[in-house]
Amino acid sequence: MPIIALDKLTKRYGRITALDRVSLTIEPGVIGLLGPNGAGKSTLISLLLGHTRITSGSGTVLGHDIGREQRSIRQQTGYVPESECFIPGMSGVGYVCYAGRLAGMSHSSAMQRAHEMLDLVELENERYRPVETYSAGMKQRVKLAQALVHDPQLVFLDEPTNGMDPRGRRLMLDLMKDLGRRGVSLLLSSHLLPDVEQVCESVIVLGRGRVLAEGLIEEMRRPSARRCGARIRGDAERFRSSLSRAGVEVCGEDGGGLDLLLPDDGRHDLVVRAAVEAGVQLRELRPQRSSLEQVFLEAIESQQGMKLGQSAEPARTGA
Amino acid sequence: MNHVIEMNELSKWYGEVIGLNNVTACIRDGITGLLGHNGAGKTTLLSLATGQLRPSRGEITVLGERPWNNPRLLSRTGYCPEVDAFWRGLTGHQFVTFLARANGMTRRGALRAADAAIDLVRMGEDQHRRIAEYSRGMRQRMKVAQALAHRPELLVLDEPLAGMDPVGRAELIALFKRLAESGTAVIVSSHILHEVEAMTDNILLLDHGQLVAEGEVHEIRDSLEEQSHQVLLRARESRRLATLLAGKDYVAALEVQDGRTLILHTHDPDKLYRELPGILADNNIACSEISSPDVSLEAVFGYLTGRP
Amino acid sequence: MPVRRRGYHRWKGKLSSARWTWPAILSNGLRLGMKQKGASLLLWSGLPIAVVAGLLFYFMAVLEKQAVHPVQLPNELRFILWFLRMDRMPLLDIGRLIVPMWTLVFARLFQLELLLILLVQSKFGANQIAGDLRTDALPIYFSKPITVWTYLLGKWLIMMAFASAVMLVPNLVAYVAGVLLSDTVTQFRATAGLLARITAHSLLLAGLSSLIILALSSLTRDRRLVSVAWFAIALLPIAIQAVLDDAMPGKYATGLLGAVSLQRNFGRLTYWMLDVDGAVTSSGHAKLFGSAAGSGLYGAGLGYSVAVLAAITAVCLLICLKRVRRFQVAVTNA
Repeated sequence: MPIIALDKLTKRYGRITALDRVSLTIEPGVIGLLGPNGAGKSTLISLLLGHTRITSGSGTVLGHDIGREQRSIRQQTGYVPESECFIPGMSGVGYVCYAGRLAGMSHSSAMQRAHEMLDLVELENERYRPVETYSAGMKQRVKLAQALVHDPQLVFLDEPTNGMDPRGRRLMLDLMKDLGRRGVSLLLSSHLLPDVEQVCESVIVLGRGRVLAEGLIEEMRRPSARRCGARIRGDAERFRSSLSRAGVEVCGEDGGGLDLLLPDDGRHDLVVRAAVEAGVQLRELRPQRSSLEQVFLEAIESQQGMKLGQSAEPARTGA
Repeated sequence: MNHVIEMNELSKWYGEVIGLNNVTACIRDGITGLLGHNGAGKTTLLSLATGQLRPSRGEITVLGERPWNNPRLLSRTGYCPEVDAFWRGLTGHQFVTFLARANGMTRRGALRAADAAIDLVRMGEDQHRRIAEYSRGMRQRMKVAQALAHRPELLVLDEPLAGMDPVGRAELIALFKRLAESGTAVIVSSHILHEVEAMTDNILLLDHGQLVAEGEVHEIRDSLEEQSHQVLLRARESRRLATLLAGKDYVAALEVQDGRTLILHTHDPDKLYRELPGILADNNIACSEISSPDVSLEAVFGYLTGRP
Repeated sequence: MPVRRRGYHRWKGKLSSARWTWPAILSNGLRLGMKQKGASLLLWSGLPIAVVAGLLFYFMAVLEKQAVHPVQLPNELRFILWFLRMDRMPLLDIGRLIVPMWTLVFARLFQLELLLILLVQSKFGANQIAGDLRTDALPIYFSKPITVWTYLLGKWLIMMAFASAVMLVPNLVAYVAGVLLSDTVTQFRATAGLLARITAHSLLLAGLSSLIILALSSLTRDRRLVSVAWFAIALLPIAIQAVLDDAMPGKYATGLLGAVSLQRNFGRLTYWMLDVDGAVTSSGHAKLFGSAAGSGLYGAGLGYSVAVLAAITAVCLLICLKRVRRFQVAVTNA
């Protein structure tokens, strides 16, 4: 059963159309939500959480109608907002426990589960200190804990690794992967494409209120069987001539590495032999695969109908 | 080629709290990434370089001069701070113009400079709207514009890509690269490693106020000899390849993952890379990928700060 | 299971199906409020007043007995009679004067307690919504299955609890003390109506002031600003009134300020709810109570007061609703 099903969902603020007849069916899993600023990502999450009213169209989350069954939806979903949100005056434990009680847990269940979640996000003795004293990374982690305390089926995350240093980011990403494995669905809205690549199985790209692309990341990245990249150390000239003798074409150079076009599918051995012949170290040999960033930029470019680099940012606020 | 910034035993403390501890380094032309955990001293270093702080010990010279109390030098550098604070009532254009004038330009010169800078960051459409209405990404672009307007020789950027979407990020990275190619020295401080990786290979790594590494990423990696290098090989006959490699003295450890992938640990990468093509060719093993997962900035960062 | 698997575990408990989760908000708010410095002191400060009132009732009981067995009154009792404006009253027929006297005592009590409420609402109430706005807690609140009404109800009940501690509780204590210190059964029968009235009035004043402070709290993120605004609203009209009374003894200015002054409106309400007029009339000694009785002290227009207070209630509710719902716009800003 799909976790989210939208049918021509539209949201207008005055004359601005933030979401334009969006129709989507999202299956359970870990999904990335991408799009430039103003594309409608925050609006979409707002609508799904019931924070704003739909202008037209309809949708369901976990089988419940967005317009009429908000309470049921919120019992089964969690939300990690982007901005620094916390309830004043409370310690980490108190905050997460309170969040559980607001979701409808009894005090003792909420308390027990709060500690469990704080263990999960690796907040040790800090949990007894007021949340006001936390660093940015700790605040992000405690936000995740409060979103999970009532064991939701679906969690919305908005820029969850914002402001975190590499270690904290790694922790959050590992947690998200673990959640996916345990059957909790995640909708991750982020600008950090490598994060999305690491954690999500599929993505949805929004642009100017419309869906520009959606699908499994692996399929969208189109691995190519004939292109590859190579990096060597040694006599570059000899290597290039060996390559051309083997029928491998050099398409370009990219920061120390060479872009190569093989004469046939999967003939990486030609590159290897050329390296032997030229007596160079073959330090890297990679199949060329478009990154998620390229997929994303291409989708935006095609919507804007022009080469990226000629347009300003889709300049709409309040989206 | 003169060094853009030279630091000699530079230290700064705030009362008892250490900001920078005995840093000796130099920053050259091109793009340099300044990396470190939160609190490692990046902002302190940039504040010292832009003349906002005075060294407690040691010295720092920027473009040949001392930055403290040196307005003339400041007009040769552009600074894009991390904080997201603006005067509320101004439009983007007014903001950039005002700061350009504060840097010593005439009124007409400032207007022209503002126009040019705003064009570079592609905010031409929205420059006459009030900053209060901008999204985060637009504000970031305006901050970069004001740093560029007076055509500085040195551009100092503290977390310039924070909160930007991939489109904006790609555009700004392209802009920084163009500026570096045309002669402006650029220093970018960030803790988002893959952004820095996309811009430059040259980094300065700080940890707890001390300089831990300086130079190009792969050089740094090579000099971390005690850390064995990891090399990933993908081949259909991975096990046969493993058998062949297991006997080599430069292979410290072998790991076979999921049937097609091999991970080697070696202390002598040069020898490995030199001999590997021969082994593959002689034994007719088709290999589709050779890569090193730990030459990434993230791995290097982890090794050096000890907190992966 | 010999080893507990690392990582996330699901939860097999049940969520309450109650439509309202305001008890969670209420208990949390009470706990946080009590953690503040000086909280207990402020909340207990209502009781000394109740004790004094109890003593007054005791003296009245003494007077009642005096009426039957006259004895020269000591000076302290004279002073108390003067305070209650009863010094010109012949000591006769005390029995019929009990209800009016008690009414007057409670009217005074309400006046004093209004001052305490001023402090209590400022201390506990200023930060209720302002704090949530400052730390941006509303997206967290509204990602849980609660509605705006639940949220406001919970916050309002928090303030009702604190306000009742300095208004309802001392009044009840004084009442019980008074009843116990005299001929219990007859006193109770005579004053039962009064008990109902003071309870209702306490709750009304607590509820209204709570609503006002909540509305003020929702207007800004700075709780100090809320406190200042609260004190200004409560005290400024009185101060201006005093100045104007000296400068222009005309009724026009007085009447206008009387319309908006909270103190005046609450005062009129007090007089009406306690049925001071009725009490005095039933005692048959209207003259004895002089200017303390009747609505002369507060000017005419009870209906006016009710209308003003109802309007204030509606306005405050609207402000709260609008300000709390406003976070939804903030959330969607890219």
